[in-house]
Amino acid sequence: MSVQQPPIDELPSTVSGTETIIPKPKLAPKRVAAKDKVVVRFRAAGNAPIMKQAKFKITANESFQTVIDFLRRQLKFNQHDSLFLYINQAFQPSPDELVINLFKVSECAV
Amino acid sequence: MGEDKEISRQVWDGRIPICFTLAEDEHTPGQDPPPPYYVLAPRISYLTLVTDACQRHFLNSKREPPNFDDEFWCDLNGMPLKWNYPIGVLFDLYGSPDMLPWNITVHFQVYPEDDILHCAEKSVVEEHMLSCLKEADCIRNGSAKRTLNLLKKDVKQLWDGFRSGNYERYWQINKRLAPHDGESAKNIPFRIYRRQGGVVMGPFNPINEQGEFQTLGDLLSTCLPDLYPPATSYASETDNLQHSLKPTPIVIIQGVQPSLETPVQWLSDSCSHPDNFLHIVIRMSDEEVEIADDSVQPPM
Repeated sequence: MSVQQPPIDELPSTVSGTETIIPKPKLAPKRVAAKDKVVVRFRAAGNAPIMKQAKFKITANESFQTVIDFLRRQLKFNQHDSLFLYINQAFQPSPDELVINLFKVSECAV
Repeated sequence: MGEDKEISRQVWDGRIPICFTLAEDEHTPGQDPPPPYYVLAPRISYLTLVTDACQRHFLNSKREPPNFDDEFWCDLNGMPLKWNYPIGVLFDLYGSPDMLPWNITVHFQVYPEDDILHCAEKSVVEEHMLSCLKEADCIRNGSAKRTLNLLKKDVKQLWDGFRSGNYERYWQINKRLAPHDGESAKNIPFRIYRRQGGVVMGPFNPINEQGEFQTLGDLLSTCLPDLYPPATSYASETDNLQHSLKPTPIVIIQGVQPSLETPVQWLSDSCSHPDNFLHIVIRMSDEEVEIADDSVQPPM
């Protein structure tokens, strides 16, 4: 059975913080399968440009590199512009980590 | 806890003998191939950190000066090895204690950037390690506050202690991130590796709802229910006989096959890598010991 993602506008919205990226769908981790999608929310920090649309669905089994490439395209960054992505305002994941794992890690945050 | 410390010390001191050979297509034509380079590498370290002298050895043997873009990388019978996995994890995943030294091929050309991350400098490994520590802190303690609160000199001591293999210097700082004070972690930072399929992670509370310590078997049946069906766990002897023809999974942590009854908290305290993750390798009983390729023989 595939898990239906809640519609994006029903996601809880946190306002505080300066994190660039927060995956936050409220699903029990066991129910997220590799084929499912995870909602990723980008939040600008420092002088990163603010995005018109901040939430995107990304296949859970993709690598974090996909997220980086996607965001660079969205922001129309060229290859010399540097871009730093943090999860939960805390750590920069390795580009070969899977989105599904980062999603699970972000659930450990209190 | 004294005994646990002894084990964590032994884990820290674990070494793997590696024989590095230059890739054939990078030999200088008309010259004898350079002799292989042997390293007794710490399990907890990374390929980039143990190959300084090895890289010099092979670069010196090349007639052509190296190109500016040339970047060092390693492969195992044609498969690029990820520098960002600890050496011990790579060995448990692909090597075998019956085939030592471990033969690895080195390259300076045609970096396989689709398969492995770039790592032009050692500072990349340092950043990687620090990021892993923060990630582990998030999982273990709910936020990366403990790591972010470290002073610059603490971070330096942590890294220097790790680099130089100085257990005491490293633990003087790391005890603040992963205290072994009997209090259990909120979640255990772990990574499960298999040859097929990506790394598996997830939140895992070391204590169950009944207040009991959860075991390695519990962790595996939570994360890999296909390989470790819950409840029927650690099948009885008759079950084992019935299924003896089917390939069975083998768990390897730090080169050892631990009992599935081992509490995960204890494993995390005693057998984690210096990035504070418990790295768990799963191999199947029918997997080749080494990736098949008999062209590479240990040059004795």
